[in-house]
Amino acid sequence: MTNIFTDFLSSLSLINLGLAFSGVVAGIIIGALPGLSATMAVAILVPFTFALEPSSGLIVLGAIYTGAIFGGSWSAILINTPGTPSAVATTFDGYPMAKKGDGDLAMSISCISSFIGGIVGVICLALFAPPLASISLKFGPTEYFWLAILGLTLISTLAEGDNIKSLIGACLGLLMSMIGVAVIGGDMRMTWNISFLNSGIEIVSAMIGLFCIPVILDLTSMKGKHLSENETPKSLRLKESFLIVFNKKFEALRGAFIGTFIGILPGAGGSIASIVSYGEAKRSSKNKDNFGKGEPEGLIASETANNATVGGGFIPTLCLGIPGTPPDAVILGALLVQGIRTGDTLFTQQSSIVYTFIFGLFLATIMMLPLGLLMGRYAYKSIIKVPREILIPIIIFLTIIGSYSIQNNILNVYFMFFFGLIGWILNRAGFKASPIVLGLVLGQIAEQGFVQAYIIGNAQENIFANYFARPISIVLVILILLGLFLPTLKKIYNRRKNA
Amino acid sequence: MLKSIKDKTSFISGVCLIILSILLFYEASTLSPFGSVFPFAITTALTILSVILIFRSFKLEIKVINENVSSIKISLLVVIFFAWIYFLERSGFILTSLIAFNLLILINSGIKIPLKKIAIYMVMGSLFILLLYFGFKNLLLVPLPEGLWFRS
Repeated sequence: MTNIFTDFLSSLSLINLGLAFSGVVAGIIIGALPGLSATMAVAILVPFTFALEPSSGLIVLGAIYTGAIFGGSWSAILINTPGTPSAVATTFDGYPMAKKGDGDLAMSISCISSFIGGIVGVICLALFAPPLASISLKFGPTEYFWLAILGLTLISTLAEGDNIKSLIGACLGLLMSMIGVAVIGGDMRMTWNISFLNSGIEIVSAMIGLFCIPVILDLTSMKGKHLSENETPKSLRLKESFLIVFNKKFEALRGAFIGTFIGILPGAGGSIASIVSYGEAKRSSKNKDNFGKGEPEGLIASETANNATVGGGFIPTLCLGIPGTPPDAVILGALLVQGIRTGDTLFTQQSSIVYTFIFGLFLATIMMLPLGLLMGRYAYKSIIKVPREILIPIIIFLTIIGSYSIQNNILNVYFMFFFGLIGWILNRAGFKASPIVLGLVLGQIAEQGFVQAYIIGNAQENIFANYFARPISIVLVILILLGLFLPTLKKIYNRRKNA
Repeated sequence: MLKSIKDKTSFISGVCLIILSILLFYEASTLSPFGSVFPFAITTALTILSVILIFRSFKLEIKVINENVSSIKISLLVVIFFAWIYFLERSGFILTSLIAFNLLILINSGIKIPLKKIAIYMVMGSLFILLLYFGFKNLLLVPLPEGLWFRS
């Protein structure tokens, strides 16, 4: 106990506080720029941490990661483009809120929700890391496959618009994810002898194009202001935001726990977590008809979940040496360089470093609240004041620089442009971008799980049982079926009841 | 038959998607068993969903609400956007961005906005580009293209 208290004091040193502060600010800015993901933010700054004490280096990386995941919500709310893939669900209600003139409220709610999610994730990491890590080992290939399909069916049934078209969009996303070398088998697929397709489609550049370009093209033709301004532009709307989140405290906590749990599962990450949390919020809400039209509850669900994956993701990273999310993989690399060996002995033999890091993460999440509220307010005020004539070239500029900087490769910019035009055409035909993007993001997890389960089932001479008879799989399949058919069954039931 | 279609967009989309599924299904048949199992599953799902979309298009129309577009503005924007990307590595990041950015301001401003205001937008935009260029290059260490003419 005394040791933990000493670790806590050590995390409060001036240098650690300064590092956490600058890490959060840098993370928020990088996360808010479309194309610059949390992984990239962490990866860029890893070399700088080698000169620091191991715990200080880890604190700055954790702070950047926390800030970047939250920062991704800014562009999702203000320009309908998720800064990171985990903010896809934030666009559903965040952007409609901004369009209605409640952008500042959305920014504040997103910050408070991210804070709650982050804190719950870190508390779970500090208190229950070893037992929770063992849960992730119960997830085999079949469970990962069904989890990815659950994410896709949920987004298809939850996103605004036509469900069939959303499911088709998810299939298109999955097909796009297959371009290039197959994850199992190594076949070259759907490249049609075009060499630059061999490495597959870069997810973030496709995401920027699919989300951003339709917005740009619609803004070009739009008359009037791009975002409405509320009547009290000088207010922070803090009280209102806190009150909304307080009234939805159970929903916020549920989102945080969903995020932590999904964060524990290696590879699943914030994108599935926020979609599952959003789905659960919509299913159980009294205002389900308002979801997708600017309902704060949807925003709370998405933002609590994606920030909770930060703490959740560190659980398998620290306890098992298996990164929960891509940024965790980079941080795991930094840990190894610093001479820290992950595993179940980490919490006993090198507890000082681990607990200083956890406290540092805790402090970074606390710092994110005032910083996010303050910076978010100015970001929103600046965006609504920027005239559309200059906003359009700025967004185009950000899409180009963002997609170029992913791999310093011009081909990613062409991909972004090409996918953007396709996205705009599909959007006008009623196919939304979010299921396509999620299909692209989850494609590899789904395929790997599907093929591995097929191979295992084949070896056991019972493919069906391997897909459908495992306990966790049964639960996931039931959830998928409910997600797909419950809305239709409810409609039929209501129609019969009224007749 | 065409007259009985209530939702032509869905019908056309469904037909195009079925053709795409057939092509991809055929492509998958040339792959190894492990490489083809997932494409087979997804193209089959896509075909089933497309057939449902086609059948539904005869029964009901699901309206898609879209903004009215200005085709001239959009065409110009797409051309400049593409040119911006095309010349990025050839003419360098700063030069290409400054030209394309200011051209886009001119297109979006139209004739209603006073010239003085447009000039202010252009100066502000150019400063923004330079600021971000140096930020990306020096802080984030992203080697943005210098262009053939400016290469040292």
